[in-house]
Amino acid sequence: MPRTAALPMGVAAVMLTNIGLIFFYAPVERTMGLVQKIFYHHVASAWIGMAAFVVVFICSIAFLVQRQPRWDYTARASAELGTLFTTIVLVTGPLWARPVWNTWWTWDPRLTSTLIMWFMYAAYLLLQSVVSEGETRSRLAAIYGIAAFVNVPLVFFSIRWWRSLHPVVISTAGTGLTREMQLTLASSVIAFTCLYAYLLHLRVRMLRVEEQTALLEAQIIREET
Amino acid sequence: MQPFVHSILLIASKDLRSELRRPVSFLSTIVFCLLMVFLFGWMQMLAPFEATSQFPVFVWVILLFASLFGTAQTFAAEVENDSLTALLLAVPETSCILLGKLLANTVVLTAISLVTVPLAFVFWDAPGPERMHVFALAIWLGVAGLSSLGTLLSSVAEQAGGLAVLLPVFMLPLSLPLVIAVVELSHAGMGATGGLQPWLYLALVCDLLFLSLNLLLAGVLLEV
Repeated sequence: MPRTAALPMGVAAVMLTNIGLIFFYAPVERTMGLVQKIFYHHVASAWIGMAAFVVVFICSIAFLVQRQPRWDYTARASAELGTLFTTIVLVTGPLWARPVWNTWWTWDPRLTSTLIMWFMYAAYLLLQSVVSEGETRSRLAAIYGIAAFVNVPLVFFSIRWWRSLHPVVISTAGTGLTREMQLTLASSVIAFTCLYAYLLHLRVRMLRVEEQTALLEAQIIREET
Repeated sequence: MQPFVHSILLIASKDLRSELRRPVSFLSTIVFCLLMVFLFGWMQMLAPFEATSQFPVFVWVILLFASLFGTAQTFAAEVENDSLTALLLAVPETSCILLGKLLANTVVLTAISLVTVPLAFVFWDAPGPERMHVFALAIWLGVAGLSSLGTLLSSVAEQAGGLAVLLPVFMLPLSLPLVIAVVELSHAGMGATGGLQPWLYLALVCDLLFLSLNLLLAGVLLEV
Protein backbone atom coordinates (compact mmCIF):
# COMPACT_ATOMS: atom_id res chain seq x y z
CA MET A 1 0.00 0.00 0.00
CA PRO A 2 1.46 3.42 -0.91
CA ARG A 3 2.43 5.58 2.08
CA THR A 4 -0.01 8.36 1.08
CA ALA A 5 -2.96 5.95 1.17
CA ALA A 6 -2.08 4.44 4.56
CA LEU A 7 -3.11 7.50 6.58
CA PRO A 8 -6.62 8.01 5.12
CA MET A 9 -7.21 4.25 5.20
CA GLY A 10 -6.21 4.14 8.86
CA VAL A 11 -8.50 7.07 9.75
CA ALA A 12 -11.37 5.47 7.79
CA ALA A 13 -10.83 2.17 9.64
CA VAL A 14 -10.93 3.93 13.04
CA MET A 15 -14.10 5.83 12.06
CA LEU A 16 -15.83 2.67 10.76
CA THR A 17 -14.88 0.76 13.93
CA ASN A 18 -16.35 3.59 15.97
CA ILE A 19 -19.63 3.51 13.98
CA GLY A 20 -19.73 -0.26 14.46
CA LEU A 21 -19.28 0.13 18.21
CA ILE A 22 -22.02 2.77 18.37
CA PHE A 23 -24.61 0.64 16.56
CA PHE A 24 -23.64 -2.92 17.49
CA TYR A 25 -21.79 -2.78 20.82
CA ALA A 26 -23.17 0.11 22.88
CA PRO A 27 -26.59 -0.76 24.35
CA VAL A 28 -29.69 1.21 23.45
CA GLU A 29 -30.43 3.66 26.26
CA ARG A 30 -33.58 2.63 28.17
CA THR A 31 -35.48 5.94 28.33
CA MET A 32 -34.12 7.89 25.35
CA GLY A 33 -33.92 5.00 22.88
CA LEU A 34 -31.99 5.11 19.61
CA VAL A 35 -31.71 8.91 19.53
CA GLN A 36 -29.17 8.69 22.37
CA LYS A 37 -26.66 7.30 19.82
CA ILE A 38 -26.17 10.93 18.66
CA PHE A 39 -24.46 11.48 22.02
CA TYR A 40 -21.26 9.68 20.94
CA HIS A 41 -20.57 11.95 17.97
CA HIS A 42 -21.99 15.01 19.73
CA VAL A 43 -19.56 14.78 22.65
CA ALA A 44 -16.60 13.85 20.43
CA SER A 45 -17.30 16.86 18.17
CA ALA A 46 -17.55 19.14 21.20
CA TRP A 47 -14.17 17.88 22.40
CA ILE A 48 -12.60 18.58 19.01
CA GLY A 49 -14.25 22.02 18.86
CA MET A 50 -12.58 22.94 22.15
CA ALA A 51 -9.24 21.27 21.35
CA ALA A 52 -9.10 23.08 17.99
CA PHE A 53 -9.48 26.39 19.84
CA VAL A 54 -6.50 25.48 22.06
CA VAL A 55 -4.47 24.75 18.90
CA VAL A 56 -5.50 28.15 17.45
CA PHE A 57 -4.37 29.84 20.67
CA ILE A 58 -0.98 28.07 20.85
CA CYS A 59 -0.26 28.58 17.15
CA SER A 60 -1.28 32.26 17.37
CA ILE A 61 1.24 32.85 20.16
CA ALA A 62 3.87 30.88 18.24
CA PHE A 63 3.22 32.97 15.13
CA LEU A 64 3.54 36.28 16.97
CA VAL A 65 6.81 35.12 18.54
CA GLN A 66 8.47 33.40 15.56
CA ARG A 67 6.63 34.95 12.56
CA GLN A 68 6.77 31.68 10.65
CA PRO A 69 3.87 31.10 8.22
CA ARG A 70 3.45 27.46 9.28
CA TRP A 71 1.96 28.58 12.61
CA ASP A 72 -0.55 30.75 10.79
CA TYR A 73 -1.49 27.90 8.45
CA THR A 74 -2.02 25.57 11.40
CA ALA A 75 -4.07 28.15 13.35
CA ARG A 76 -6.21 28.88 10.31
CA ALA A 77 -6.75 25.22 9.46
CA SER A 78 -7.57 24.44 13.09
CA ALA A 79 -10.09 27.30 13.24
CA GLU A 80 -11.80 26.01 10.08
CA LEU A 81 -12.02 22.50 11.52
CA GLY A 82 -13.09 23.86 14.90
CA THR A 83 -15.94 25.72 13.20
CA LEU A 84 -16.93 22.56 11.35
CA PHE A 85 -16.98 20.39 14.48
CA THR A 86 -18.69 23.08 16.58
CA THR A 87 -21.35 23.31 13.85
CA ILE A 88 -21.81 19.53 14.17
CA VAL A 89 -22.28 20.01 17.94
CA LEU A 90 -24.86 22.75 17.36
CA VAL A 91 -26.76 20.62 14.82
CA THR A 92 -26.67 17.31 16.68
CA GLY A 93 -27.49 18.99 20.02
CA PRO A 94 -30.99 20.17 19.04
CA LEU A 95 -31.62 16.88 17.16
CA TRP A 96 -30.95 15.04 20.42
CA ALA A 97 -32.62 17.64 22.64
CA ARG A 98 -35.97 17.74 20.82
CA PRO A 99 -37.14 14.20 21.65
CA VAL A 100 -35.43 14.15 25.08
CA TRP A 101 -36.05 17.65 26.50
CA ASN A 102 -39.02 18.45 24.24
CA THR A 103 -37.30 21.59 22.97
CA TRP A 104 -34.89 22.36 20.13
CA TRP A 105 -32.88 24.81 22.17
CA THR A 106 -32.40 25.80 25.79
CA TRP A 107 -30.09 28.47 27.25
CA ASP A 108 -28.10 25.89 29.11
CA PRO A 109 -24.51 26.99 29.98
CA ARG A 110 -22.89 24.42 27.70
CA LEU A 111 -25.14 25.14 24.72
CA THR A 112 -24.77 28.89 25.10
CA SER A 113 -20.99 28.68 25.55
CA THR A 114 -20.73 26.50 22.45
CA LEU A 115 -22.80 28.97 20.44
CA ILE A 116 -20.63 31.89 21.60
CA MET A 117 -17.53 29.87 20.73
CA TRP A 118 -18.96 29.29 17.26
CA PHE A 119 -19.44 33.06 16.85
CA MET A 120 -15.81 33.62 17.88
CA TYR A 121 -14.63 31.08 15.31
CA ALA A 122 -16.85 32.75 12.69
CA ALA A 123 -15.32 36.15 13.52
CA TYR A 124 -11.82 34.65 13.31
CA LEU A 125 -12.50 33.15 9.87
CA LEU A 126 -14.16 36.37 8.72
CA LEU A 127 -11.02 38.25 9.74
CA GLN A 128 -8.88 35.77 7.80
CA SER A 129 -11.04 36.23 4.71
CA VAL A 130 -11.41 40.06 4.64
CA VAL A 131 -7.70 40.90 4.83
CA SER A 132 -5.86 40.19 1.61
CA GLU A 133 -2.29 41.04 2.64
CA GLY A 134 -0.60 37.91 4.05
CA GLU A 135 1.49 39.22 6.96
CA THR A 136 -1.19 41.64 8.24
CA ARG A 137 -3.86 38.97 7.95
CA SER A 138 -1.82 36.45 9.94
CA ARG A 139 -0.90 39.01 12.61
CA LEU A 140 -4.46 40.31 13.11
CA ALA A 141 -5.88 36.79 13.14
CA ALA A 142 -3.30 35.73 15.74
CA ILE A 143 -4.24 38.70 17.95
CA TYR A 144 -7.94 37.88 17.68
CA GLY A 145 -7.25 34.17 18.25
CA ILE A 146 -5.51 34.96 21.55
CA ALA A 147 -8.14 37.49 22.70
CA ALA A 148 -10.96 35.07 21.87
CA PHE A 149 -9.38 32.07 23.58
CA VAL A 150 -8.62 33.80 26.89
CA ASN A 151 -12.25 34.89 26.91
CA VAL A 152 -13.64 31.34 26.59
CA PRO A 153 -13.38 30.38 30.31
CA LEU A 154 -15.05 33.68 31.24
CA VAL A 155 -17.88 33.00 28.81
CA PHE A 156 -18.42 29.53 30.25
CA PHE A 157 -18.30 30.56 33.91
CA SER A 158 -20.37 33.70 33.46
CA ILE A 159 -23.15 31.74 31.78
CA ARG A 160 -22.94 28.93 34.34
CA TRP A 161 -23.20 31.33 37.30
CA TRP A 162 -25.93 33.27 35.54
CA ARG A 163 -28.02 30.19 34.91
CA SER A 164 -27.32 28.60 38.27
CA LEU A 165 -28.58 31.72 40.03
CA HIS A 166 -31.84 31.48 38.07
CA PRO A 167 -34.33 28.61 38.10
CA VAL A 168 -33.22 25.89 35.68
CA VAL A 169 -36.23 24.13 34.20
CA ILE A 170 -34.35 21.49 32.23
CA SER A 171 -31.39 19.79 33.84
CA THR A 172 -28.66 17.98 31.90
CA ALA A 173 -27.34 16.17 34.94
CA GLY A 174 -27.69 12.48 35.60
CA THR A 175 -26.46 10.69 32.48
CA GLY A 176 -25.20 7.44 33.95
CA LEU A 177 -23.12 5.55 31.41
CA THR A 178 -22.58 1.80 31.36
CA ARG A 179 -19.10 0.35 30.72
CA GLU A 180 -19.96 -0.36 27.06
CA MET A 181 -21.17 3.20 26.63
CA GLN A 182 -18.01 4.59 28.18
CA LEU A 183 -15.83 2.50 25.88
CA THR A 184 -17.83 3.58 22.84
CA LEU A 185 -17.56 7.22 23.89
CA ALA A 186 -13.78 6.84 24.33
CA SER A 187 -13.54 5.28 20.85
CA SER A 188 -15.56 8.21 19.41
CA VAL A 189 -13.21 10.71 20.97
CA ILE A 190 -10.17 8.82 19.62
CA ALA A 191 -11.74 8.45 16.16
CA PHE A 192 -12.67 12.14 15.95
CA THR A 193 -9.23 13.17 17.18
CA CYS A 194 -7.64 11.04 14.42
CA LEU A 195 -10.01 12.57 11.87
CA TYR A 196 -9.20 16.09 13.09
CA ALA A 197 -5.44 15.45 13.00
CA TYR A 198 -5.65 14.02 9.48
CA LEU A 199 -7.84 16.86 8.15
CA LEU A 200 -5.57 19.41 9.85
CA HIS A 201 -2.54 17.87 8.16
CA LEU A 202 -4.27 18.00 4.75
CA ARG A 203 -5.52 21.56 5.17
CA VAL A 204 -2.14 22.90 6.36
CA ARG A 205 -0.50 21.30 3.33
CA MET A 206 -3.14 22.82 1.06
CA LEU A 207 -2.64 26.30 2.54
CA ARG A 208 1.13 25.98 2.09
CA VAL A 209 0.70 24.95 -1.55
CA GLU A 210 -1.76 27.84 -2.12
CA GLU A 211 0.79 30.30 -0.74
CA GLN A 212 3.62 28.86 -2.80
CA THR A 213 1.46 28.97 -5.95
CA ALA A 214 0.59 32.62 -5.30
CA LEU A 215 4.29 33.47 -4.84
CA LEU A 216 5.20 31.61 -8.03
CA GLU A 217 2.41 33.36 -9.92
CA ALA A 218 3.64 36.74 -8.72
CA GLN A 219 7.20 35.85 -9.72
CA ILE A 220 6.14 34.81 -13.24
CA ILE A 221 4.16 38.04 -13.70
CA ARG A 222 7.18 40.06 -12.52
CA GLU A 223 9.51 38.28 -14.93
CA GLU A 224 7.09 38.73 -17.86
CA THR A 225 6.75 42.47 -17.26
CA MET B 1 7.21 55.52 34.72
CA GLN B 2 6.55 59.25 34.45
CA PRO B 3 7.09 59.56 30.66
CA PHE B 4 4.87 56.49 30.21
CA VAL B 5 1.95 58.01 32.14
CA HIS B 6 2.61 61.44 30.62
CA SER B 7 2.40 60.00 27.10
CA ILE B 8 -0.86 58.21 27.92
CA LEU B 9 -2.38 61.44 29.22
CA LEU B 10 -1.11 63.41 26.22
CA ILE B 11 -2.67 60.97 23.75
CA ALA B 12 -5.93 60.90 25.69
CA SER B 13 -6.08 64.71 25.79
CA LYS B 14 -5.23 64.87 22.04
CA ASP B 15 -8.14 62.56 21.25
CA LEU B 16 -10.52 64.35 23.59
CA ARG B 17 -9.59 67.78 22.19
CA SER B 18 -10.05 66.48 18.67
CA GLU B 19 -13.45 65.08 19.69
CA LEU B 20 -14.44 68.42 21.27
CA ARG B 21 -13.35 70.34 18.19
CA ARG B 22 -15.44 68.17 15.89
CA PRO B 23 -17.83 66.13 18.05
CA VAL B 24 -19.47 64.21 15.19
CA SER B 25 -18.97 60.75 16.69
CA PHE B 26 -19.91 61.87 20.22
CA LEU B 27 -23.08 63.70 19.15
CA SER B 28 -24.17 60.92 16.80
CA THR B 29 -23.78 58.35 19.59
CA ILE B 30 -25.70 60.56 22.04
CA VAL B 31 -28.53 61.04 19.52
CA PHE B 32 -28.56 57.27 18.85
CA CYS B 33 -28.81 56.55 22.59
CA LEU B 34 -31.65 59.04 23.02
CA LEU B 35 -33.50 57.49 20.08
CA MET B 36 -33.11 54.07 21.70
CA VAL B 37 -34.38 55.44 25.04
CA PHE B 38 -37.46 56.88 23.30
CA LEU B 39 -37.95 53.68 21.29
CA PHE B 40 -37.87 51.49 24.39
CA GLY B 41 -40.16 54.03 26.11
CA TRP B 42 -42.76 53.62 23.36
CA MET B 43 -42.36 49.86 23.54
CA GLN B 44 -43.05 50.10 27.25
CA MET B 45 -46.39 51.74 26.49
CA LEU B 46 -47.36 48.69 24.43
CA ALA B 47 -45.89 46.09 26.79
CA PRO B 48 -44.86 47.52 30.20
CA PHE B 49 -41.69 45.99 31.61
CA GLU B 50 -40.78 45.34 35.21
CA ALA B 51 -38.39 48.08 36.32
CA THR B 52 -36.05 46.18 38.66
CA SER B 53 -35.45 43.14 36.47
CA GLN B 54 -35.72 44.55 32.97
CA PHE B 55 -34.50 48.14 33.26
CA PRO B 56 -30.78 47.19 33.46
CA VAL B 57 -31.13 44.86 30.46
CA PHE B 58 -32.48 47.63 28.20
CA VAL B 59 -29.94 50.14 29.54
CA TRP B 60 -27.08 47.76 28.77
CA VAL B 61 -28.37 46.99 25.29
CA ILE B 62 -28.17 50.73 24.60
CA LEU B 63 -24.74 51.17 26.21
CA LEU B 64 -23.36 48.14 24.38
CA PHE B 65 -24.36 49.62 21.03
CA ALA B 66 -23.08 53.01 22.15
CA SER B 67 -19.69 51.44 22.90
CA LEU B 68 -19.63 49.94 19.41
CA PHE B 69 -20.30 53.33 17.80
CA GLY B 70 -18.14 55.20 20.29
CA THR B 71 -15.03 53.10 19.84
CA ALA B 72 -15.37 52.38 16.10
CA GLN B 73 -13.58 55.62 15.14
CA THR B 74 -10.69 55.20 17.60
CA PHE B 75 -8.01 54.95 14.92
CA ALA B 76 -9.88 56.71 12.09
CA ALA B 77 -7.93 59.99 12.47
CA GLU B 78 -4.55 58.22 12.42
CA VAL B 79 -5.51 56.24 9.32
CA GLU B 80 -6.99 59.30 7.58
CA ASN B 81 -3.93 61.49 8.27
CA ASP B 82 -1.43 58.63 8.00
CA SER B 83 -0.02 59.70 11.35
CA LEU B 84 0.36 56.41 13.18
CA THR B 85 4.10 56.17 12.42
CA ALA B 86 4.67 59.64 13.88
CA LEU B 87 2.65 58.69 16.94
CA LEU B 88 4.69 55.49 17.38
CA LEU B 89 7.93 57.48 17.23
CA ALA B 90 6.65 59.97 19.79
CA VAL B 91 5.83 57.55 22.61
CA PRO B 92 8.22 55.61 24.88
CA GLU B 93 6.16 52.41 24.49
CA THR B 94 3.58 51.32 21.93
CA SER B 95 1.08 50.47 24.64
CA CYS B 96 0.89 54.20 25.54
CA ILE B 97 -1.08 54.77 22.33
CA LEU B 98 -3.65 52.08 23.11
CA LEU B 99 -3.93 53.10 26.76
CA GLY B 100 -4.28 56.79 25.88
CA LYS B 101 -7.01 56.01 23.39
CA LEU B 102 -8.64 53.67 25.89
CA LEU B 103 -8.70 56.49 28.45
CA ALA B 104 -10.23 58.91 25.94
CA ASN B 105 -12.86 56.33 24.95
CA THR B 106 -13.70 55.70 28.60
CA VAL B 107 -14.20 59.43 29.22
CA VAL B 108 -16.42 59.77 26.13
CA LEU B 109 -18.50 56.69 26.98
CA THR B 110 -18.83 57.78 30.62
CA ALA B 111 -20.17 61.14 29.39
CA ILE B 112 -22.60 59.32 27.08
CA SER B 113 -23.82 57.07 29.91
CA LEU B 114 -24.19 60.09 32.22
CA VAL B 115 -26.66 61.57 29.71
CA THR B 116 -28.40 58.34 28.69
CA VAL B 117 -28.98 56.51 31.98
CA PRO B 118 -30.70 59.37 33.92
CA LEU B 119 -32.91 60.05 30.87
CA ALA B 120 -33.81 56.36 30.73
CA PHE B 121 -34.97 56.56 34.37
CA VAL B 122 -37.11 59.59 33.52
CA PHE B 123 -38.64 58.38 30.27
CA TRP B 124 -39.24 54.79 31.40
CA ASP B 125 -40.68 55.98 34.70
CA ALA B 126 -38.38 53.64 36.64
CA PRO B 127 -37.81 53.94 40.39
CA GLY B 128 -34.33 55.10 41.40
CA PRO B 129 -31.71 52.48 42.30
CA GLU B 130 -31.94 51.27 45.91
CA ARG B 131 -28.14 50.97 46.08
CA MET B 132 -26.91 53.90 44.04
CA HIS B 133 -23.20 53.17 44.60
CA VAL B 134 -23.58 49.59 43.27
CA PHE B 135 -25.54 50.79 40.24
CA ALA B 136 -22.98 53.54 39.49
CA LEU B 137 -20.10 51.08 39.92
CA ALA B 138 -21.80 48.64 37.52
CA ILE B 139 -22.18 51.36 34.89
CA TRP B 140 -18.57 52.48 35.24
CA LEU B 141 -17.08 48.96 35.24
CA GLY B 142 -19.11 48.12 32.15
CA VAL B 143 -18.18 51.32 30.35
CA ALA B 144 -14.47 50.88 31.21
CA GLY B 145 -14.44 47.24 30.06
CA LEU B 146 -16.31 47.93 26.84
CA SER B 147 -14.01 50.89 26.07
CA SER B 148 -11.01 48.65 26.67
CA LEU B 149 -12.24 45.84 24.45
CA GLY B 150 -13.53 48.29 21.85
CA THR B 151 -10.18 50.10 21.63
CA LEU B 152 -8.30 46.84 21.03
CA LEU B 153 -10.75 45.44 18.50
CA SER B 154 -11.37 48.72 16.67
CA SER B 155 -7.69 48.71 15.79
CA VAL B 156 -8.03 45.15 14.48
CA ALA B 157 -11.16 46.11 12.51
CA GLU B 158 -9.52 49.26 11.14
CA GLN B 159 -6.47 47.34 9.90
CA ALA B 160 -8.74 44.62 8.51
CA GLY B 161 -10.26 47.09 6.07
CA GLY B 162 -12.45 49.26 8.26
CA LEU B 163 -15.76 47.68 7.31
CA ALA B 164 -18.40 48.99 9.74
CA VAL B 165 -19.82 45.53 10.38
CA LEU B 166 -16.51 44.03 11.51
CA LEU B 167 -16.28 45.63 14.96
CA PRO B 168 -19.67 44.29 16.18
CA VAL B 169 -18.85 40.83 14.82
CA PHE B 170 -15.51 40.84 16.65
CA MET B 171 -16.68 42.54 19.81
CA LEU B 172 -20.11 41.17 20.70
CA PRO B 173 -19.09 37.55 21.44
CA LEU B 174 -16.10 38.69 23.50
CA SER B 175 -18.07 41.25 25.50
CA LEU B 176 -20.68 38.75 26.65
CA PRO B 177 -19.17 37.81 30.07
CA LEU B 178 -18.72 41.46 30.99
CA VAL B 179 -22.25 42.35 29.86
CA ILE B 180 -23.74 39.49 31.90
CA ALA B 181 -21.73 40.60 34.95
CA VAL B 182 -22.68 44.27 34.76
CA VAL B 183 -26.35 43.52 34.02
CA GLU B 184 -26.49 41.35 37.15
CA LEU B 185 -24.58 43.98 39.12
CA SER B 186 -27.04 46.65 37.93
CA HIS B 187 -29.90 44.36 39.01
CA ALA B 188 -28.34 44.26 42.47
CA GLY B 189 -28.05 48.06 42.42
CA MET B 190 -31.73 48.36 41.49
CA GLY B 191 -32.62 46.36 44.57
CA ALA B 192 -32.88 42.79 43.31
CA THR B 193 -31.98 40.12 45.81
CA GLY B 194 -29.18 37.71 45.00
CA GLY B 195 -25.42 37.43 45.05
CA LEU B 196 -23.48 40.60 44.37
CA GLN B 197 -19.88 39.45 44.83
CA PRO B 198 -19.49 36.93 41.96
CA TRP B 199 -20.68 39.54 39.46
CA LEU B 200 -18.44 42.23 40.91
CA TYR B 201 -15.44 39.90 40.70
CA LEU B 202 -16.36 38.77 37.20
CA ALA B 203 -16.69 42.38 36.00
CA LEU B 204 -13.34 43.25 37.58
CA VAL B 205 -11.67 40.17 36.03
CA CYS B 206 -13.08 41.07 32.59
CA ASP B 207 -11.88 44.68 32.92
CA LEU B 208 -8.41 43.56 34.00
CA LEU B 209 -8.22 40.96 31.26
CA PHE B 210 -9.18 43.43 28.53
CA LEU B 211 -6.71 45.97 29.92
CA SER B 212 -3.95 43.33 30.01
CA LEU B 213 -4.69 42.36 26.40
CA ASN B 214 -4.25 46.01 25.41
CA LEU B 215 -0.94 46.14 27.25
CA LEU B 216 0.41 42.80 26.02
CA LEU B 217 -0.75 42.94 22.41
CA ALA B 218 -0.06 46.64 21.70
CA GLY B 219 3.40 45.92 20.29
CA VAL B 220 2.17 43.46 17.67
CA LEU B 221 -1.11 45.27 17.03
CA LEU B 222 0.36 48.63 16.09
CA GLU B 223 3.07 47.56 13.68
CA VAL B 224 3.83 49.84 10.77
